Amino acid sequence: MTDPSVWLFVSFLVLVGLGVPIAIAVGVSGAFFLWYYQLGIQILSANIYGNIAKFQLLAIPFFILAGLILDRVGISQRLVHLVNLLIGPTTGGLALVAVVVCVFFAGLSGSGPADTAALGTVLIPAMVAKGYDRGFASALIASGGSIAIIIPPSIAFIIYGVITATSIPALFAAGILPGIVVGLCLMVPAYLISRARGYAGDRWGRPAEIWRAFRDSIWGLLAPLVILGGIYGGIFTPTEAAVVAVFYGLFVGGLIYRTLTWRILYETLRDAALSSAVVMLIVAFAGLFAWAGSTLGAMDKAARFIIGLSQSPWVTILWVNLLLFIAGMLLDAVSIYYVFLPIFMPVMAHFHWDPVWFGVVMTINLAIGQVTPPVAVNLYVAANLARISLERISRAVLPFVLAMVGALLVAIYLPVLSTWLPKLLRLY
Amino acid sequence: MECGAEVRTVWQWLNENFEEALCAGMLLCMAALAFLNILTRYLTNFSLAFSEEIEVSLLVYLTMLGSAAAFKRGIHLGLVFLVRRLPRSAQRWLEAGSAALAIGLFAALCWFSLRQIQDEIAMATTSEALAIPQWWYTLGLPLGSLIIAARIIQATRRALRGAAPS
Repeated sequence: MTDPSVWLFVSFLVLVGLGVPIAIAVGVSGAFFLWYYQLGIQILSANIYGNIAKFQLLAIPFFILAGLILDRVGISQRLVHLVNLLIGPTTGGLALVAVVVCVFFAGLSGSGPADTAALGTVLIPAMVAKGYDRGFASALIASGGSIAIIIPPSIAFIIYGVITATSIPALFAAGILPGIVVGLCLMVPAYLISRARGYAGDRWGRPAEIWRAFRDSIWGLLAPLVILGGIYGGIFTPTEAAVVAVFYGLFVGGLIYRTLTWRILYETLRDAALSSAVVMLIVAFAGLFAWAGSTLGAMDKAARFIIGLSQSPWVTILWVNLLLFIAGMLLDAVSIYYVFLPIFMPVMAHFHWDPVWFGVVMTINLAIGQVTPPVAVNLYVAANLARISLERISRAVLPFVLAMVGALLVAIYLPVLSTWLPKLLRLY
Repeated sequence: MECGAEVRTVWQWLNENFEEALCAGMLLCMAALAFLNILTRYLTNFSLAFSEEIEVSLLVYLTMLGSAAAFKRGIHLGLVFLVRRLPRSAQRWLEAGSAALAIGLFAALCWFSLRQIQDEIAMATTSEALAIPQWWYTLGLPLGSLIIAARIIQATRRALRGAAPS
């Protein structure tokens, strides 16, 4: 136990356990080991600056801003209204509507908690008004909201792409089908629980109503085409697509729906900036930790340990996913990418794993981490919106966690689900 | 003393919105610059290469100032599940210890970034695209560290006095 490599990880986890914010805990242990083992603490400033000042990372604040604007100009309510008219009197109608809208909205937003907030504000009160249990409704939205990081645009894929030098457009394309599979898996418990508890659906929409709702939400329906079409048409880089999405949202809110006021604009900019800063501070310090761990040789040792666990790649991938699942309960996704990817990259090379497939698998696992307590950003947001305790939503989320684990296993055993679309688009 | 009251309201507004307003402004500038760059590139085949440099360095300022606001509002993510189960006095000690660690980290960042700036001035390092002094960009780190430290002290004092974070 005198190996400093072990202590690097232990010190980080102990600090997190003592309630130190994750960004600070990861930064303090990284900086301490750089200083104590004389690995060059002088680079602290240049390292932090370099971790933040990356062109690809600019896509993070832009996509957060785009998602918030598209929500606040009123696209989410319009989508919910349209899908509700289409699903009609099916059992658990509104629960299924929620999942469909979550999958669709994931195509506009790249952040799980932002998605949960956007859709939870509309859907949780609507479901409670229809007699759904608060715990069930908020747990469902929290789980559905996590699809935001699997279906492009996705902050998670941007960070994975930056760390592993994998093509971000390829990762974006790879996430589409697995994200839809996660949505389908979530519908199973949503439907079964609704049937057991007798949650009834709504009425069918009349054709004129549906047409009006469709025309009303057409600008929202077009947004993913603008974002993804731009990237896959080879017109925009992901960062540029994010900027175009921001101005698309401003255009729709300012000139079409006329819902955008100066106050909303300021509040949206402010909230997007603060959310981005919270993510970017973790990026800055977790990058320092990864540097310290690599210089110390801790990452290589951990990688050799994982490679030594088993000869079989299938057994190893299960161990890796178990580790990620546990980490997802205790940490946030961004710090997990920085702390664990330097360990997993040699493992991926050893077993010749496809980096795009592995990125999708890891991201689905970390999407589950957004709803597994005690650290579960989406649960915090949804519990707050529904005004229920973290204990209550944690119990209610269990069936959805199981459903998402099912989707994770599908993505693990069917790599083609992730690789087919990026290969079709000749992205790698 | 109306004048005193006005000064106090201005001060209070700054206390509550200073970093937020700056961050909102910077994000708007970054988005506008990036959009302008796309437009000029497709309309004229010219690329405003300098715009990327400005956006990226604004991201550094945004990260630091936005983090200060986030410390003020207590929205940095952490595991509070275990700590909440401890007696109140132990919680206070942990909060104070956590704040001390954070301040130490930002003090180190401030110190080493000032030394980096010293080097950049001494060697007259200029930025790649705009050829302006590099330390104008680096300055975001020490400035931000100071504001963050001040906000951590402010938030911790309030928390130790027992008030809920705003």
